[in-house]
Amino acid sequence: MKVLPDRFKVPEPPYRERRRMPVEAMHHWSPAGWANWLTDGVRLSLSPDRADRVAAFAPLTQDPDLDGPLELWSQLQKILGVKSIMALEEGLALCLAGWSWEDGAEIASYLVRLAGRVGGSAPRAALAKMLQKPHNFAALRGADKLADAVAFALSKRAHTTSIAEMAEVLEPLLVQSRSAAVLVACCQAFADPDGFIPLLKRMAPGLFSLPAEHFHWRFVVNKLVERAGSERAIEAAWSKHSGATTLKEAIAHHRPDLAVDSRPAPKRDASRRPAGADEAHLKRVLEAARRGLRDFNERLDTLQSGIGPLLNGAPDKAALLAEEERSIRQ
Amino acid sequence: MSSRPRKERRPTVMRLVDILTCRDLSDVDPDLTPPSCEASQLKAYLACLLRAVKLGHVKNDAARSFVDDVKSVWLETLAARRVAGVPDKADLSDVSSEAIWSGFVTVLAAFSGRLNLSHMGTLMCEGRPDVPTETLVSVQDDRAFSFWFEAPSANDNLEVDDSELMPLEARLEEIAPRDVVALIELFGRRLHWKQDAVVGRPKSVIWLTLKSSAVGQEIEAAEKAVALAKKTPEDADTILRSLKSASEVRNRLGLWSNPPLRHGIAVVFKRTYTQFIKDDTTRAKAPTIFDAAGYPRFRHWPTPEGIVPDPMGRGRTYELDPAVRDRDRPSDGAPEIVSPPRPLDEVESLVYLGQFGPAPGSGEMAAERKACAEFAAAIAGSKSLTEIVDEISHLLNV
Repeated sequence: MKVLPDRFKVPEPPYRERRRMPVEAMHHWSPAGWANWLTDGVRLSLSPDRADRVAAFAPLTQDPDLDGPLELWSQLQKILGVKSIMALEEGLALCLAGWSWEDGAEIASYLVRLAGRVGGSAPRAALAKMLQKPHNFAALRGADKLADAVAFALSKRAHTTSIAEMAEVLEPLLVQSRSAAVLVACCQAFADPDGFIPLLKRMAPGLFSLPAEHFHWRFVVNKLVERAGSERAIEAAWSKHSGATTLKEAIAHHRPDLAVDSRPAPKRDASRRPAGADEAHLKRVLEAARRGLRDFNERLDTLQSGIGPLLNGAPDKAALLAEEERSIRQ
Repeated sequence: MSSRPRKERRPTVMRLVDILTCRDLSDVDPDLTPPSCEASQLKAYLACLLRAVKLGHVKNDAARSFVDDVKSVWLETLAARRVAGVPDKADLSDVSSEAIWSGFVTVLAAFSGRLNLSHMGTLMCEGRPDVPTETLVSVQDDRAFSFWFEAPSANDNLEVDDSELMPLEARLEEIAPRDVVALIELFGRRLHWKQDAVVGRPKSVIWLTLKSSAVGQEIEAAEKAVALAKKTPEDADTILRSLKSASEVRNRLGLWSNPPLRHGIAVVFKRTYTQFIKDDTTRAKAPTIFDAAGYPRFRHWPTPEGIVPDPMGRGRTYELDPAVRDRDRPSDGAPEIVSPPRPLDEVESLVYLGQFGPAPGSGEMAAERKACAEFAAAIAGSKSLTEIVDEISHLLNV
């Protein structure tokens, strides 16, 4: 009998082989099945061996060197139904909740970034639990990447109040990465522009020793405007905290289109409004409306003089003016 | 009475034609029931392999070795499923086209044929009056920045020299157009470049095209839009977000897999096409399936039979937009070559192209199947999968 070449002798299917074709079975996986697949896949995707990375989430991801959670999620969305997505989200929550610091930060970073993509809230609830486990982040390898991932997930999905509630747990992690600290602080500035500088000082203290022209300040300014809006960014720059001057200078330097030199209008508070203010305000509005109507009237005159014959039955101007005044008074 | 357990018989040898036993690979009318995307891609890739062997772009030995490796992976799949069968025939009737394609791609990704000079035809330019003088361009996405900029060496809030730090934008999972423009500006100032960084990934190839025709027009339009955004900062966000050049360039270059939300960047090189290919150290070549490594829209040029080859031996991309493809057929797309990754020093400039939108035909499963079937038909021509497999089997004796 002819002896077969070695490559045909396959005593046991290799691990890679068992992982190869998940798509057929995916529609029937339980959350635990998803958790196993995700954990194994993330481990393989971080392997130095390219063949491992190819096998990690094959055939869903195309590029073993570049594809990350975004690419995986967009492929999963294409092939899975609602029920399977829910099972996947629960599986992801299991992965995050069961994660321990000994597993390292890199695997967690991938899972957290995936949690930032999915629609369901279970993974992010699990993320909160994960962060509550006590750990010395300063000694954790890859803590900066984990901080970036957590900041992304929070900025993408979490509400500002829930971030504020987690502040105590989050801060030790977020100080590990300046980009993460800035991102979360900028998200919080939407709800509390006045608290932006103190929060940023706590989480990214080194930033305030940099000149306003530094490219890190450009990042801060761009993210602040993007996340909180230009009005709140200016409000934050006009706060009375030390460091506000640097922020003001940074906005002036990196976003010259924003009028940071003019103090933002004070917040309106109805309870502190002086008596008669409403009446005065209404008078101003009425006057502005009259001016507008006069302008309209003049334009109408110009039009009528040009195309008079076509405008048979044009409205009586005086009647129109009286009608508008009546409606505004009402 | 207990029956004696039957001894399991697994196939131990396989012919390439055995894959036709797979239920998903039967030749059906693609207009009635589009085959799975994997079946279409396998058909296209095998057609490319056949064409490359026939044209002498891939040596028979290399192709035979590749097919043997793939067959052994398919046999492993059968063994994993504990499929019983006749020892001298592999029965893949219970294996999906997805499993078959996956095995094919796994071997492609690891096959050592990539960039091996003996596997592909060389490019020609000597004595040709029509040699292009345009510079070369490669289209990347924003993920490349994390490979180009220096990573922080330690906790960046503590006592570290800030001049050594990576720009913070490059650390983000999802970045805004304004961030990409900022990173391009930093790149142009040669600040914070990672030592030994390259365009393209190490141990892989970089895909290059010419800054000419449709691609060049889009790049120029994008350059103008970015310049306008810099002049009018109050409208910068609107201008940058409405930039559609990335999607257009993606369609011309057949970049099916570039995910929406990512930002396109055109890397314009200093050297012209002629200067580049005349330099032997660049090892520039026309691409084969071994470079494409299973990319969903690769075609070996000239494919199918009867198409006029490129006079300079270059490859040609597959146009993704059906309207443009039909209009320009058969020479739709743009010329392309591959080379090992290039050092950052060779880059003239980066141009922001905007955000990629969804590729034409992507999204809905039915639409994707149809798009894949159209792609396979464009590559294989009138040949069925059975005919392609038979021809490869006879040519290579596999």
